[in-house]
Amino acid sequence: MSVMKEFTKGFVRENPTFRLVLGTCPTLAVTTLAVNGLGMGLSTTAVLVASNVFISLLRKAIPDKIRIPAYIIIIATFVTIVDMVLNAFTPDLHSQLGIFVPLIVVNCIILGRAEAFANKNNVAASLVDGLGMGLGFTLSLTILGSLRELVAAGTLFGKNVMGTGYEPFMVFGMPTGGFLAYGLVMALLNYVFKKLKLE
Amino acid sequence: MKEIIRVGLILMFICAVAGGALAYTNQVTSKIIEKRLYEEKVALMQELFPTMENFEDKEADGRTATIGYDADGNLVGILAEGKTSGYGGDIRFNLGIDGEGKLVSLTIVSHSETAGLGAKINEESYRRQFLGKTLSDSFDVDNISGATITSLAMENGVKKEMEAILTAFGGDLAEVPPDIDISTLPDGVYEGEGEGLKPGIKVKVTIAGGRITAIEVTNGDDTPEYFDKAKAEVPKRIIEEQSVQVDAASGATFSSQGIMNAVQDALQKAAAGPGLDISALPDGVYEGEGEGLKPGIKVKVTVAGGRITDIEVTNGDDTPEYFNKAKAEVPKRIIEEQSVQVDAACGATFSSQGIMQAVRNALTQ
Repeated sequence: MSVMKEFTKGFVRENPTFRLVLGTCPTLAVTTLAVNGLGMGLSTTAVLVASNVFISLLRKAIPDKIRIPAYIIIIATFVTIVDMVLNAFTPDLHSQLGIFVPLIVVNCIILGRAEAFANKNNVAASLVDGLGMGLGFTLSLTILGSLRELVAAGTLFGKNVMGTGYEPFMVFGMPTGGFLAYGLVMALLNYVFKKLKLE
Repeated sequence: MKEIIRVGLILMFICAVAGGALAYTNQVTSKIIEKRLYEEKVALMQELFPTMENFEDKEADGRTATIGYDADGNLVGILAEGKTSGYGGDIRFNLGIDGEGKLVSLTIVSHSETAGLGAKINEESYRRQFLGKTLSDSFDVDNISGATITSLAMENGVKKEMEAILTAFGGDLAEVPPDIDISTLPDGVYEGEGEGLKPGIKVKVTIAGGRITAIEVTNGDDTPEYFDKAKAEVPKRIIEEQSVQVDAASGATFSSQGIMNAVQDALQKAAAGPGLDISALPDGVYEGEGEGLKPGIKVKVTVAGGRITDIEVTNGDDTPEYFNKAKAEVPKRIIEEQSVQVDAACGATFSSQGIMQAVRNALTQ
């Protein structure tokens, strides 16, 4: 597989949110605003790249029997370090992302990529995979966040785009709307995939 | 068996490395984080309480608060956290209270109220309504439409927590002035004014033997239909219960409230006593007693040539911390202004009132 293909598969073909249906819990929880989706996506990407590289490096040293606990320790360590570093050096960003960072630990995309890809491939491929999957996740979350923000508040990244006469459809800002938006976008994608015979 | 030990050792090694990396990162970052949190607190305190010179963290009643002091060591502000039960769970908020017991800041720390409804407590336009209130004010503010439970939780919670914080850290700021004790009022007829639906309700209250014996409503501009109901019921109830807080006449709430206010006003005038003409007093030393936070404030007032020339505070059982402030300031001010109504010493309102009352009692005996 070419590097380019490894990189781009996360965006559409193997999009973690809409195709693999991984990490739905943080997806539903944080996509109330476009900026939240973007923030969660980018912090997940950072952790995903780092954990993929490390796990790929250690894939021969870690015995199969204990790979899952080992991965979890590595991921949790990365998340905690990212959390502390953000808090110390970029407090503004940290207060924005505050609730997302601990959520990354339980994001199954990271464990999923470690298990499905990083422990079978070399470091370079794992890095590209982590980057592609992370950005694909970011893209999906930003799309969902934008959609929900647009309908629920009439704004996009905090800027009013629907005009002052727009009556917000608030349910999309609530958990119910999260499921609705998620389902609608996934249905649309499935339809497109079927039409284009990509499966 | 050998396999288990090998695998266990590898896992232990991974954990040890991870633990080491975390410990190192924590060591580097925790100092920076602590320093930043401290600086943020300093900046916040200075913004809320401009006259603050230094501050300290205090613990009492299971709460912690940051107390700010001015250059003279007077308390100028308290910043502490409170919480209340909202619709979706605990609402935690920070209260900033200044040296006069006024709420100057209300910020929401965390909440789980419904987005778009109860979550509006975080909006500045809602929180602003609480600012400037003291414990003796009503905390009834405009509710958030569609979020009654959240709104009520905030109104009750903010007041309750403010009271608890002031009790724990604010010294005499926590005390609400006591009701007028009717039994100690001197006999006489006192006039008072109140506002019903319209202003201008006037009453004449007769006090005899420490009881309200008669109330005459002499004027009222509210719609007669309602006002007459209130006029027929409320004075009767006040005399019956010997209290100015009675049930309103049904269907005439505002007029009833207006009459109660007018009576209250009259009683306050009665409590304040007749105007005092110091210049007419014969020379001599007068002794009087007053009540601050606690009873038993005693003063000796020297009058010479129609002027108060000296005031000696001979006893006072209030907390010395506050009482000494009042003792240092109030007699000086009374002598300066030749009046028994002067500004209270800052941070010692009740002790100050007590000294003024004692001086007044001395001079009216």
